[in-house]
Amino acid sequence: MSHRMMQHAGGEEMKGRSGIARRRRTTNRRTTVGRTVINKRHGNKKHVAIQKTRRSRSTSDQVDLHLMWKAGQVAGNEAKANNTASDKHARLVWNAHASNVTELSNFDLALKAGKAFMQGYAHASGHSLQIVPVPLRHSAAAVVCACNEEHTLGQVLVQLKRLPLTDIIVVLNGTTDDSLKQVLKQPGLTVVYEPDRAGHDVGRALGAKMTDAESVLFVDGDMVVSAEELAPFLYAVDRGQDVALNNLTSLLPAFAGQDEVSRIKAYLNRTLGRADLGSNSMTAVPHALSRRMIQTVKPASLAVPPKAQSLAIQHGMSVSAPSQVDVIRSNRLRPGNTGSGNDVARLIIGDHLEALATLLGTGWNSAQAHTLSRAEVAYRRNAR
Amino acid sequence: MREVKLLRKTRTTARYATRSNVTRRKTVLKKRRWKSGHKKGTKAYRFVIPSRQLMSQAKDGVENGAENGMSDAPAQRDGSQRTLLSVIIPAMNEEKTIGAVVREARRICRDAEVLVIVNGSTDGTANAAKRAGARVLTYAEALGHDGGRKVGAEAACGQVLLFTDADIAIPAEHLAPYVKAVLKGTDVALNDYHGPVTDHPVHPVVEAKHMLNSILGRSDLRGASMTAIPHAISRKGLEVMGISSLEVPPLAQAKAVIGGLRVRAVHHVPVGRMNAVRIKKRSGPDPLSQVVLNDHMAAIKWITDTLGPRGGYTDLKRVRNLAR
Repeated sequence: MSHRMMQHAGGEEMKGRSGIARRRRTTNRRTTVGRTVINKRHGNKKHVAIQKTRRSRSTSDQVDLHLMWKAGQVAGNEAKANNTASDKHARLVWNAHASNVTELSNFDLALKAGKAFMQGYAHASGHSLQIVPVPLRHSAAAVVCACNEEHTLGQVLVQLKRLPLTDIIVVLNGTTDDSLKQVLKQPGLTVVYEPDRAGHDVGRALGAKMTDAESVLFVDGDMVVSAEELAPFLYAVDRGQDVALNNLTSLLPAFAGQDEVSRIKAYLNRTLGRADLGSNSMTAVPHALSRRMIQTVKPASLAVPPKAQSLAIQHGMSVSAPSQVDVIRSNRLRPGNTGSGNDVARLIIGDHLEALATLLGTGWNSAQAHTLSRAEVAYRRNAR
Repeated sequence: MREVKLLRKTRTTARYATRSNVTRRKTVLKKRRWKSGHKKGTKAYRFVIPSRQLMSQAKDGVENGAENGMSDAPAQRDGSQRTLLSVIIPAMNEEKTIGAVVREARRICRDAEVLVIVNGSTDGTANAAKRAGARVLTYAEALGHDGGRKVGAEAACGQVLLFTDADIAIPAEHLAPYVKAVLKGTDVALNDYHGPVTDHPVHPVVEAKHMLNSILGRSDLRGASMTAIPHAISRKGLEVMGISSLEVPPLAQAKAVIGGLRVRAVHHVPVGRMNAVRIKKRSGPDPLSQVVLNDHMAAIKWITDTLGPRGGYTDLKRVRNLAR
């Protein structure tokens, strides 16, 4: 700590000096003091982190969590008296309460407030709750696409049931194991069974046709993602986004280390004028779509995810990547999807080509009309 | 006396303001290393007369080319049977560097034809090129780099067509590998230069070049592209690609790979580092990068038009009918 103080003092002292003197001092400091400062920083990492969280808590604390807890307690007491305490009831009460609170402007706040409410409810009613309290205004459904994933499918469904969904659609295609039996055992599911393999993307398109909920969340049966991690996608679509993608930007290496699939995804986004989306794509799960988007691009086009994405952007829908789920590390490695130039990579490259072809076919050039011709560029660059 | 003093003073401050002595020394050394291949006033051909076999191969190629009606005059066609190499250099207002570029190009091999396509120039570029010993084609209007290359390829009669630019004098030692590769059977010999891949965020043009190569199933080429100079192509390559497609280099590259030509990244010339000064001089975004991006879209359009909307890639057990 003392060291940091010293450095600070030095900085202030130097501000008054001339350029040359400052430069000399910098070299001195680099050789002796600088090194120790760097070491110190490492030691202090924990401390800095704590400070950060404390600050963020103080700024985002616009909602009085205690009030939320109290409201939950009141609701819980009522439920206990009427003997109606259940997950469903808690969710209903919370939705009614959340629509009255105007401060719940972003997802983090809403979730925090919801958790406080649920704690109050559980405390009063004595009914332990497993649900994730996302306040959704419209109906929501989930589509799970699975093929021989009996080990993980059960867990995936457990996580989905913690979310306020009106419908869960399980699309089983080409299963040879006990997946179907397992799914049929569980209540409250819509099951689409296709004996032959149809592909994940086709499964998603099928599932999207089976529901008319306002927002649809797409997940895979081979990867267990907790309900807390899935909720932001639903929330984003519920609050007006049309496509909520998985934000993988920070998980990818720099360009030099990227695989060709990530590069072509980024290229497509850039061509569509959405370079800010990076390599985020509808080929990755989880993602959520709005009913408006599904109807505009037609469910059939969801079979080729990049095409659906480019159509959505072309139609001026709002596309964003609100949250991150690490699907890269936890993805099941199969012989088909490892290494560069594998079958899956070729499929995805083909998908992107298809998307680019449709883009070119539907008057992309008119959007780029403002660009200069070769001769004009030559005059700009080389004219005297 | 006073002036000297003043000079000295500015020098001291300048030293503080710019790079340190050590770094400056480093760049000088680098330049020297780069240029060390030749001595002034001597003419050492890197590429001495090729073997008889190669020459006979070359002749065959020329006949094919002549049938296509490429060269203009019959007298020139006779001469072309002996011409092995055509170096094509588009130039626009480059009188400062064109002389050196032409001299380097002429050092590659004996009897090389050096074609300078002077377009839209308002300075002495044409004269400087002539003085250095080049054949000059003059156009009043600007053609752009790629347009100039296309015009040059139409007029060229060599067996090997080497393309380079008028703004950087690349030593003949670094141009010869491309010619050598083409004589050994490569059809398109590219610069093994991938652009600044370590930048973050990466430049869109670099991204597009990588993307095109992986679409073509040639991710081993990485960022190598016909947009970058120097590159060399054979007569056969020129026929397969078509001269007009040279105006859109990524399109030519796509045609080359899909047409079954041997495309290889041959030799690395750090053109990015040599170009750096020009980029710094300009303010605002480079208008050329948008042109290059559009070129890549044109290449993709051609791929999807000729090989189907999926560019020849499979659907991998996907049953689309189900989704309909």
